[in-house]
Amino acid sequence: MLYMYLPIAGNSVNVLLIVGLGVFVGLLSGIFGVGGGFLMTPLLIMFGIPPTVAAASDSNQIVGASTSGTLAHYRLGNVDIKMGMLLLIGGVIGGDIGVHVIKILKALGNADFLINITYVVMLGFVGGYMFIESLQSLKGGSVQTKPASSKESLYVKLMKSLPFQTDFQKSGVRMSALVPLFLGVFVGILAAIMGVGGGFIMVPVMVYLLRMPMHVVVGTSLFQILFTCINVTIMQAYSNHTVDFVLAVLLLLGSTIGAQFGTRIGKNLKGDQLKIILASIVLLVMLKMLYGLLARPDILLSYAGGH
Amino acid sequence: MMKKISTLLFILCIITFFWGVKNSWSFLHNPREIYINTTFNGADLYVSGEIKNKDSVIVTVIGSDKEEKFKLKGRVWGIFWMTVGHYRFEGAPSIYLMYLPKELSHISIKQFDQLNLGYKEIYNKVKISPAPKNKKELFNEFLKLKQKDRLYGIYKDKVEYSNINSEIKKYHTVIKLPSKILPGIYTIKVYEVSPDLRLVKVDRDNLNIKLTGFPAFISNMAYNHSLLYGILAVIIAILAGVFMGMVFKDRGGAH
Repeated sequence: MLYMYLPIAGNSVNVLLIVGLGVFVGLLSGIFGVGGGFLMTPLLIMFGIPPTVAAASDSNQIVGASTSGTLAHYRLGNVDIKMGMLLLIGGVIGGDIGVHVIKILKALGNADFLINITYVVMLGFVGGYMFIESLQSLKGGSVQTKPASSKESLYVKLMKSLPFQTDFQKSGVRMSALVPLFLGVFVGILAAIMGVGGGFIMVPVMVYLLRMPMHVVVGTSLFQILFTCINVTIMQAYSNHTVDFVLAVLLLLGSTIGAQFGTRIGKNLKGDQLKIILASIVLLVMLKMLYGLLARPDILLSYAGGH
Repeated sequence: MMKKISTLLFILCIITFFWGVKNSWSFLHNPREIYINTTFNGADLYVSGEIKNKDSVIVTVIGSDKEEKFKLKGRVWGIFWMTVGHYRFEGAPSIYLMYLPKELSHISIKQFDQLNLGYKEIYNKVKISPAPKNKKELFNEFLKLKQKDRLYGIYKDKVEYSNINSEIKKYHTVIKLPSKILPGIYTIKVYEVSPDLRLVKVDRDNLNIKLTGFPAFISNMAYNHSLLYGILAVIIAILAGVFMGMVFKDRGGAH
């Protein structure tokens, strides 16, 4: 077995195991347009990497995987740069607000409880809704995301009444530029509170609230995640010294290849099929988190770090 | 007068020399230094020496004291397990590995505690703040965590004897240093214990563990040139992504 020492994590890892983990998460990233941090970070912690190093190094590898995935999706015409930029600007503002929210929560008392409960509720709501909706669409033989009902809903009326109406050609939608900006802020706040990239929240937001086609959602989400993770990697390396480049490279070896194959797999799946698989993964992660909240841990003490 | 002083100095030198020789050769450890390189995955440390025939020996490797912060989970509202407190531990060594011979492996905890070695030694030394309601319970959780990481451990039946004669016997053991060991100076302590469980002698020597090669380079970059390190990490990740994109470009899609 080939082992490699990680100088920042202060531990050695099995090279094949970490590269394999990269391939798996890269596949998910390419298929669904999520960064995979919500899966990768807990797995790395399980393999003995300190939580703060796991999260920061994962951000570094997501930069590589999402570059690879974004390029592949860009060639397929699946990246809405205009929409992505607005979501990104909103995400950065939301991230800053979220960091302050965390500080307030910590000062108030048990921030961990609120974070965990938010996580479980969000995952349960998002996963459950996506699962039921996709199942109904699949049963009904629908291929693409259902358009809004013929009768104009309050939501649609509200969208039309907002200023700065803009055409998003790649997504095939027309709406106020304020909507993606505002939703970006919302996802950014949640992502900062939960300590994740936010891809698994951003994807349902794009599908259900921005009404974008699933394949464009995946490419645009990756585009947005790329820039978010560039920012996180540099900040973590500079402020906390928690980026383990060796670990990131090992993950990258797998994830960049995985992202390419993932994109090709995703291309062959229907929008509703993609949604139902992603919903199942989100629900599994939610159940795992819920189990963590309800079951007595083997060891009650854990290293403090991150949030 | 001068003659007396020079004679005294000579005797002092002789004593110092023999004391030094005795101390440096009371036990041997190999390697003398350990280098953490790219493929480091823990290391074996060989310790050997001689003791009186009737006595026993305990070999330990102890890291320097470290301050660490921990979160404690507890039950809230009778349903949820979540963080209920934060504690700072001071004075606990970063590593504590103890290797015992067969005859000391099966004595009672009470007898072992007589020696004031092992985890009891750490328990007496460690300061926890804020002061917990039950220090012993919290310390036991701390031990479980450290043992899971293989940073703490008491290993039984791991010291062997050979060349036993009426006066002395040789002992030897192989200490498994975990891959999580950090660079620094570690102390190897060898305790000679009499049959009535009293410490006869304690010998010690240092073990230096150093980062070398690529890990040393990365560590230096990460801590001393952190901004450049972060930017380079991002650029390399982007280039890797672009490279993979180019490699896969010519292979076409799945169809």
